[in-house]
Formats: sequence, structure tokens, C-alpha cells
Amino acid sequence: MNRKILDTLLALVGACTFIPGLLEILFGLTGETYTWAILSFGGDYDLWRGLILVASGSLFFFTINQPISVQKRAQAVLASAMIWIVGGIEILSTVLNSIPGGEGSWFNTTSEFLSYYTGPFTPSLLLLPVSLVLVILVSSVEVKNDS
Amino acid sequence: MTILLMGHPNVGKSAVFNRLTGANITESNYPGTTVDFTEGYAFIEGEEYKIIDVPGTFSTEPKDEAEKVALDILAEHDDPIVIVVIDSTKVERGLYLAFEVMERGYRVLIDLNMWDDAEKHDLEIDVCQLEKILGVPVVPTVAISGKGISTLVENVPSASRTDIGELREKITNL
Amino acid sequence: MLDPEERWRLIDKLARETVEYGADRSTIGSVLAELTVKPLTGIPFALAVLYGFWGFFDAFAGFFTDGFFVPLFDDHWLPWIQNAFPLKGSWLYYILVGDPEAVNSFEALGMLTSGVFVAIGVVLPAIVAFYLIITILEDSGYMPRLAVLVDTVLHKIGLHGFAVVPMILSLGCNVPGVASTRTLETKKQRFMMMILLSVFIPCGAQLGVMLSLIPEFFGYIMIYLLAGFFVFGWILNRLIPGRSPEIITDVPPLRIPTFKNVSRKLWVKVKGFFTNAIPFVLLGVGLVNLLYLGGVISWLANSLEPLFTGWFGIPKETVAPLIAGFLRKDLAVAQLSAIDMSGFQLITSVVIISIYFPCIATFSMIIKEGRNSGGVIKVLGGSLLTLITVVFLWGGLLHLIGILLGVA
Ligand SMILES: Nc1nc2c(ncn2[C@@H]2O[C@H](COP(=O)(O)OP(=O)(O)OP(=O)(O)O)[C@@H](O)[C@H]2O)c(=O)[nH]1
Ligand SMILES: [Mg+2]
Repeated sequence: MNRKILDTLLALVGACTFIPGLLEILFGLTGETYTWAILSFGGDYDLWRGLILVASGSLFFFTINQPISVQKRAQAVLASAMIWIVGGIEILSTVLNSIPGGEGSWFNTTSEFLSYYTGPFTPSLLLLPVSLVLVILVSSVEVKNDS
Repeated sequence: MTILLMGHPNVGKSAVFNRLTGANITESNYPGTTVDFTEGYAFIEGEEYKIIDVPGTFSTEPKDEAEKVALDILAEHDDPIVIVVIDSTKVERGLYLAFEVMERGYRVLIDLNMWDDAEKHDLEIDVCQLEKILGVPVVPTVAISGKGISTLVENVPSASRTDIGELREKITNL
Repeated sequence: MLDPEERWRLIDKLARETVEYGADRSTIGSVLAELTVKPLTGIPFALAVLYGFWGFFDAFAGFFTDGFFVPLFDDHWLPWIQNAFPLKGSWLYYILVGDPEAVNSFEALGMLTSGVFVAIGVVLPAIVAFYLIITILEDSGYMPRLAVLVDTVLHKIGLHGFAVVPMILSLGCNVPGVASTRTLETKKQRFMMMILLSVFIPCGAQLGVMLSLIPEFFGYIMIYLLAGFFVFGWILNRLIPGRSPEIITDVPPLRIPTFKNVSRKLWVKVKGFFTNAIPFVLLGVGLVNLLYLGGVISWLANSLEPLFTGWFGIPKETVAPLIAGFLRKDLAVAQLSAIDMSGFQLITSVVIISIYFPCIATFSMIIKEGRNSGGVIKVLGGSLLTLITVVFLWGGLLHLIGILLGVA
């Protein structure tokens, strides 16, 4: 894969991070929630998630146009790591929220338990696998250039 | 018999100490974790040794209270064996402290810790030659995995003093 | 003995003979390590890490406390012990079980009800979550990087001479934080940091309880405390004679934390909690109950009322948590959250709990360290003087802010 394709991908992921991030900041400030298809915005601490995604997206943009190097790779990893932190927390809290039963019983029933996993999801959660693939791609390109 | 573990901050002294004594003192990846000394005991070749984890020091001229603790410990003990723990990726500064300790006439054993990091950086250290020149045992270790610790233990009895005048001669003639 | 110059010369030569450096390839790890301390990339990443910290904490502690411990204690333990314990109406019942009619464990106020609930149900999950993250951050080498980053930012805004590593350590527990001031060079620095840390930096257990019981106020409380840290740091730096040289932190490489070391350190902390903290929490509850029975609390509350309501703007009932706070600040915060008061009053009283006096463990560490920092009398006198000034000024100022904002 050459640099052009890689840069296009970086720009694409960057945009897919930056724009939802902006939206999250917006919804965080107004305190509203909004669902579109399987994407959901809003909720507690949405402002923070938005700020982090915007920063991550900007960092992705920053890596574009640099020659393929360890620098570029590290920046992409750092930007992705920010997505992973936010997305990872999302997964963790969904899992931990789905287990206790609340009023009356210790554990949730199976159907209630499963209802936690049908979405809608926050942008960071959907971006998580995408950025993972991107990092793998960036790394693999590096290795080829090295040898 | 007393063994002192000395070295710069964050070189893995507490990790070595835990390995030697089976203790559970805090190791952290930042300098200045240990500011007070900890004692432990270990049997080496049938003899009981008291082992002391000393706070990190840059040199034998103390600059702060933690270093003062370290040097007090050094002065307090009667003819201890000093294991100078060195970060293998920063040999020079570690050797500086080792020299200072050797100059004071202590029995010294050098532990080149973080050997795994050195390998990762393609750093090659000629342990045999270092040993020959310095006249004290030099042992590479990886304290977190325990690699080399048994060799370190075996070499404790052969920790030795170095005549600094001779050492100077040897190095100058290299 | 050789002189330093000759020593370096010999070592240089020796190293040239025996050490061969590999080609200096910068690895992804070393570049990442740099990116985390540069403000432009480091600050956003630090933000993400803090978010992760908070998110993990919220999920983990919420899972145990709200998911399991609250129902366990409120629905099963509390009603059982209220009935099963003999001697209803006696002073022993009052101290151990507390209010026989209480329907939740916070408000029962007995050693075996509120005491055990706060210790096991609230503080334990909080500190496990807290220390788990702290340990991972420590072992990965991110902690000193955060310190360097904070230091850089402080310098940019003209604040010099703050020792950031002891500060971050203090967030875990003030005791090692105070101990680590030993690595500072001058008496002035040690004295300054010791006071600032023990007064303004809440410890892990307190942070944990604040995060799980009053998360909505957490941010305000921290901002106000940190502002106090820097304002009084700036003032003390000017008032105290002596030097405060720059502090150079050696930044270690980033590493992947090993499961073994993390679990071992966590275990040591949890064990320490069971042996050191739980007895103190129970003791704190018992002591407060005894003082209630003896009428000491109501006497104190009434005689201090003008000060509390007039100067600080908080209800006089906060006197009891303040007494418990000498032993454990986490317990004090938990007790405060059970008192009926406005949000702003809660913020003020938690701030005052944090700054009015270090807990006993920290206090004894200050006495111990004081010997190395200009003498116990001087350090103690200086600390108390600073402490009183800080409590009155900083606590009163918050009340004033509240009045100006129209919320107090
Ligand atoms: N990779 C690697 N890491 C190590 C090794 N030895 C120790 N460490 C890690 O290095 C860090 C520092 O180790 P410590 O044992 O706390 O260092 P110390 O010399 O006691 O430091 P101070 O008490 O601050 O003077 C910890 O995170 C250890 O897990 C080693 O041989 N290899
Ligand atoms: Mg140590």
C-alpha cells in the first residue's frame, strides 16, 4: 500500500473522529441526547468525550502528508489510543451495568442483560475497531519500507 | 554479613531486593520510590546475609535527605558487601557511582540490571572484559523476570575490593 | 579518591572499550514517550487518560457499591442487625448499631452498620479501583511523564519550584507523598511541599469516596483545592527565606506493566487497607458516637456554631465528621454526605474537611520528616500557623464566593 492510500485512510478516520467529536461537544453543552441510526450522542460527560475525539481527530489530520516514519506511526497510535480509552470505558461500563439486577434481585435476567448490547452506541465505540485496523495498517506499511 | 543494594534511582534495586529476599516492597517505574531503607534476610551458600535496599543515590556526595539516608547506611555498617545496581542502558553513570564506592575500599559486586532493555537497544556490553578490568564480579540481570539473579547470588561471596591506583593504570593503558 | 573529572575520564575510556551502542533507532515506544510529554500532544492525551481514570472508577466502584453492596447492606444486613442485636435503647446499641429505625446504612450511624458499610461497601471498592489505575500508571512510566508535563505547564504560567512527583504520589496517600519530599534539595522546598501536600491534596481514599458519593461536586472541590495549592505555594515561596532550585525529574522509559507486579502492589495496598484503615474507620464511628452520648458533640457544635455558620456558611452538624476526619478523611466525607445541606454547603464542608488538619497518619509523618527539614518545633509551628491561616482564608473565601454567586 502506498502513502497516498494510507493518507486518504488517515484523513477519513480523522474526519470520522473529528466530526462526531464536535457533535458530542455540542450535545454535551446543551445537555440533550440524540439518536441517529445506531449512533447516539449525549449523556453524562459527553463534553469530555467530544473534546477527546476532537483532539484525536486533529492528531490524525496532523499525520497526513508526513513521510512514512516511526513519527507518523507513533502519532497515529497515540490518536487511536485516545479513541481506545474512551471506547474501552464505554464497553466496560456497559458490561458492568448489565450484570446487577437492581431492585429485588441480585442479577439481571438474560433478556434484560442482552438488552444492554443492542445499541445505539457512542461514536467512540464504533470507531474503536476502525482505528484498530488503521493502526495495524500503518504498522504493516512501516515494516515493508524498512526491509 | 551485610549486603547493601546501591544505585541510581529507578534502576531496579527494589526489584532485585524482592528477588533476593522474597519480600514485597514497592517497585515503581519512577525515580525516588524508596526513600527509606528496607532490610531483609537471605541464605547464600549456607550463610545468612542481611540485605538492605538503599534509597537511590547519584553519587556518594549527598544532595538531598534520601541520599543522606543512603550514605549513612553505607557508613554505619562494618565492611558490608555493596551490590552496585546499574541500569545497563546507562552504564556510564552507574559506573561513576561504582567507582566512588570502590574508591572507598568496599567489597563490590556489580549488577548490570535491565539487561533486557539493553538487548532491545542493541547495546553490547563486554561483561568479561569489564570484569577483568574492574577486578570485581559483573553480573547481567533482569530483575523483573529473575534472569541472572541466581548467578548474582553465586557471586556474592566473590565480591572484592579493587585497588584504585591499579585500576587507573589498567584503564589508562587500554 | 579520584577527583570527579578524572573519574569521568576513566569511565569514558572504559566504556568505549567495553560498551558498543547499537544504531540509535528510535522505536515507536520512544517516540510515543516523547509525544506524551510535549504539551501539544501530551495535554490531550492526559485528558484522555484522566477520562479513562474517571470512567473506569465510575464503572468499577459503581458496579460493586451500587450494584451489590448497597442492596446487601440496606436490605439484608441492616434490618437483620437492628433486630438481632440485643439491648435496644442502651448506649452499647447506640454505639454499635445506631438508629434502630434507619432504613439505609448511611444514616444508621453505628459502628457495625454505617462503619462497616462505609469501610467495605464504599471505601474498599473505591480504593481498589483507584489503586489499580494508579499502579498501572506508575508501572507504565506514565506517571513521571504526567509530572513533567504538569511541570512544563506550570513553568509556562510562571509557577516555579513545585515538586510534581510528591504531589502526584500524595494523590495516592499523603504519607508517602510527605516522605518523598526527602528527595528535594533544600529545607525550604521540603517544608513548603510538606505543608502544601498535606493540606491541599486529598488522598486516594478520600478521592475515592468523593468520586463515588458526590461525583457531581468532585470537579469543583478539586479545582478549589488545587487553586489553593498554587496560590499558597506562590505565597509561601515568597515568604519563606531560602532557595528553591529547579527539580529535575529523570523520565523512565514507557513499559508495559506486568500483571504480577500490578497485582502484587494492589494486594499490598488492599492488605494495608484491612489492617490499617478499617480499624480506624470503625474507631472513628465509635468515637463520634461516644462523644455524642457524652454531649461533647452538641456542646462543640453549639459553641462553634457562629464560626461554622457565620464564617464558613456550613451547618453546625458538620462538627461530628470533622472529628472523625482526624482519623480518616474518607469516613468524614461519607458522614458529610449523609447530613442534610445544600450542594454549595456540601462543597464547602468537604473542602474544609480536606484542609483543616492532616489525618493522624500524615501528621505523624510530618513530625518524623520535620526533623530533617529544620527541626520539629519549627516545622510544626510553621505548619500550624499556615494551616490556621489557610483554613480561615481559603474556607472563608469559598463562603464569600458562594454569597457573591448567590448560592450560599
Ligand atoms: N525491563 C526491566 N524492568 C525492570 C527491571 N528491573 C526493574 N524493572 C522495573 O523498573 C522499575 C523500577 O524498579 P525499582 O525496583 O522500583 O527501582 P529502584 O532502584 O528501587 O528505584 P528507587 O527506589 O526509586 O531508587 C519498576 O517498574 C520495575 O518493575 C529489569 O531488569 N528489566
Ligand atoms: Mg526502590
